[in-house]
Amino acid sequence: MPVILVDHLAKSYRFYRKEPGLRGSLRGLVHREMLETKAVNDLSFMVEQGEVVGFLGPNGAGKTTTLKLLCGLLYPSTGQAMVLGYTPHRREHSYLRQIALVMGQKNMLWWDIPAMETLLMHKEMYRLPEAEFKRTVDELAEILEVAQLLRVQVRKLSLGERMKLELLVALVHRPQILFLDEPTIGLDVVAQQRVRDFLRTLNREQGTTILLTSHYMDDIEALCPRVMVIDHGQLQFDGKLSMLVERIAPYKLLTAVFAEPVEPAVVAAMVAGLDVLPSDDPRRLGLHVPRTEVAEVAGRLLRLGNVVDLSIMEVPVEDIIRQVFSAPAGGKELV
Amino acid sequence: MTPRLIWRCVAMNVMMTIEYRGEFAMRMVNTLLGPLISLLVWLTVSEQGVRLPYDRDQFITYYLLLSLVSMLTATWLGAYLAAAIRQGDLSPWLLRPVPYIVNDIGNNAGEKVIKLVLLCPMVGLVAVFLRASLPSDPRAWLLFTISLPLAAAVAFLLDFVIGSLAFWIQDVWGLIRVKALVGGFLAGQWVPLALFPARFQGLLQIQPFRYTLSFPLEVLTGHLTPAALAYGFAWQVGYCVGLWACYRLVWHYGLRAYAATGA
Amino acid sequence: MTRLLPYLRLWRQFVVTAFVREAEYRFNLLVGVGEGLAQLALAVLTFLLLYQYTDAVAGWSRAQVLMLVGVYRIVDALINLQIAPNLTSIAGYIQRGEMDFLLLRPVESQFLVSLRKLELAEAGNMVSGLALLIYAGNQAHVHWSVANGVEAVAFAICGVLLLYAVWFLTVTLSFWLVKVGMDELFYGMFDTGRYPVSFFKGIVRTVLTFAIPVAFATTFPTQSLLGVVDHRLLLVGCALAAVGLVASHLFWNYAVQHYSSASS
Repeated sequence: MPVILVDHLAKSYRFYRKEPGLRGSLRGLVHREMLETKAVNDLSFMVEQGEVVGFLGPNGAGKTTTLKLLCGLLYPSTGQAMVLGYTPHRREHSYLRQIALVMGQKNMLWWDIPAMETLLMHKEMYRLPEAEFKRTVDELAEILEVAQLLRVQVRKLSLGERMKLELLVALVHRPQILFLDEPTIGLDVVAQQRVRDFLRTLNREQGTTILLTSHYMDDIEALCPRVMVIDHGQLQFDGKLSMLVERIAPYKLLTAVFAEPVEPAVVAAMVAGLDVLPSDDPRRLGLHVPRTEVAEVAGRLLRLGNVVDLSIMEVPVEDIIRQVFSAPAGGKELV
Repeated sequence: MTPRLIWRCVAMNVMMTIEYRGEFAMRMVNTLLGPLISLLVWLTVSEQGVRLPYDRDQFITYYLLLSLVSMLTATWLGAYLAAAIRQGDLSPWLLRPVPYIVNDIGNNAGEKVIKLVLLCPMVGLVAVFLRASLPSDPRAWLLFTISLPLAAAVAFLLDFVIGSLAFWIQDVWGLIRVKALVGGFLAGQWVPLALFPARFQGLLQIQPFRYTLSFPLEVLTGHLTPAALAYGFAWQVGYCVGLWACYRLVWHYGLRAYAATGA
Repeated sequence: MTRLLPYLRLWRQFVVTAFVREAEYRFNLLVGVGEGLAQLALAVLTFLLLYQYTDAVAGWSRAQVLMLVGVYRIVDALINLQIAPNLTSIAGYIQRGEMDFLLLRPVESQFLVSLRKLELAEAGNMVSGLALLIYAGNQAHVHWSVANGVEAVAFAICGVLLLYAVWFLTVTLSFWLVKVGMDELFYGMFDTGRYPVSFFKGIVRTVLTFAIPVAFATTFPTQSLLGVVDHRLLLVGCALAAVGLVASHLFWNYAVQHYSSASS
């Protein structure tokens, strides 16, 4: 039984266009042009309990809108979503008690006071029994290593510490589903790693279903066995990250380093038909090689002799994603 | 360079103001409302046959134009300046070849242009509704138009100097709030200074707040003798010059304190 | 009752949090108290200036009007303590997207946005207002009685609820108009509460009694204490307050619904 069921979900909204300059402002008083945008367009998918799903997509692709639709903050224009058996936009209290939303760019902690106060507020809002509340806070604080920060005013904490506390506050009612919008944005590498580790632990030990959007490929690679690529409000890909990589980049990156510069003519004959990467070093040769030909090409190179180093790597996911999103709308069919 | 720069600041602020026109319209209604309520109370008293220093027309003139004058002489930047100094946001400004005060003058002037456009029709409507007969003496209006910008300058400089005390004082905003309250009272915001007891008049006439609001209105209601007029203008100009000197002095030493603390 | 209890516990947590916050900003508290005393003094001074020319205005003696100033200060403090800090924040929640978090809590959202912040420093103004009320009441030779006191409190509660409803209705417009600037207007309107409504005539008096119901918050409670109020007005007040609260709730729910269908 899937916990999230999305069926032909669509969301469009209207806004006014504003013209620049003083004259534009004045004209805007009389006449404004109204435009309609489809933020999410005909989305269908399912998520099983305990899955971790990553949403990938450029800015404005509809990732955040999708999360908000699933939380129940937005009414769908057409289609429907079913989460934990509830229709999200009705925002029934029994539904809200089972989900949590964390947005990396917005904080829900009270700024001037220690996080403990916000936690106590949540204790009353979610009607948590004293003993359970204490246990959860202690447990989460220990995993997140923030026990000693709970009594410090939030404004005195670093960004990374604040994010960890945001997570603690969001999870204090032990939600079944956690929605995360850019949870690691602005954090340094170490803090990003901590947040990822925590989310993985949470998923493994509590079985929490996690849906997250992120700009950082590392987040997705580390956390999400399953990714959905959304662009222009539509689902472009849904499946394993490794499948996405194979589909976009059906080749590997092969690098050979020779003991001395090689004759360009020899190389040209050798790698005919392959993609040669530009290189500053005449002894270094980088190639994009189709997966099926990797072994053969590597063998051919080795047969040349004087090869001191040979490496075969996956193309970095960053590069692949960049490639996906630089393509014009609909220009690249993934599914 | 400076006039063009001020003009750019003004234009930018006009644009911002258009963006928030609803809020500004409301604020203007509010600017008119306070004086109007005071006016209605005094008219009630006056209609009971009580002998007051002002007659009906003078009350109407005073309170109707009070909304205009208080808007045109209003300042609000002291608090922002204090915050900028305290939080170190002043630093980017210090790198520019223009004194910080120019930006504030531009902001102040820009908002007032729009507010004037919004407020004038409202005041006009109320004037018609109350069948007000405003003073017709052109000399009074001329003197009024002279003392009005002077009042704005006194108010602005006073605000700016107090805000600048943030160079040395941590929580200067407390002072700013108390100043707004007491200053408003002493400027004649609620009760015309002419209605205060006679024994306080000497003191009331030399305190600075009179010259931020009350004085232009007193000039217009026309109960000042030529000697009193000359006396008032002398004080007003004096405050302008004195506060400008204060500003230069405070900023001269203030910027050193700012640089020293490295805020 | 079992439905109400969790809300009471939540409100108690709001108060505790407000205490913690207040302790963070002790200087703030000091300025707040100082400012409150200055406001009280200036309000009194304004009337002293008025009454130097006459003994009674529209039937109100100086002592009676000062009683009303005391009531006004108490009600004003109540509004600034619990209502104003919240209603002035709502537009900001919407602008900064914080409303999303508030709507995701399993709690009535109107309760949450209306009560979560308190400005405890205002309690000082309540005390000074009460002191002025008692002092001026004795000057006015008021016969203090429990019945009159209860009636005055009932009027004041009606008045505060009515003011809340009217203000909340206007604030709810922020879902459509990003910045309405109703707050300042509301403060301006409420300022008229420092005068008895009988100081005004005709349309202005009607507006202040019913449309912007400051009369229920200040004039009628004072008249209760003086024993000159029309008791039927209390029924009117209760009815108006009930209608106002229901209307504010319906409009809020409608606005939240609009918000989730129109925003992105």
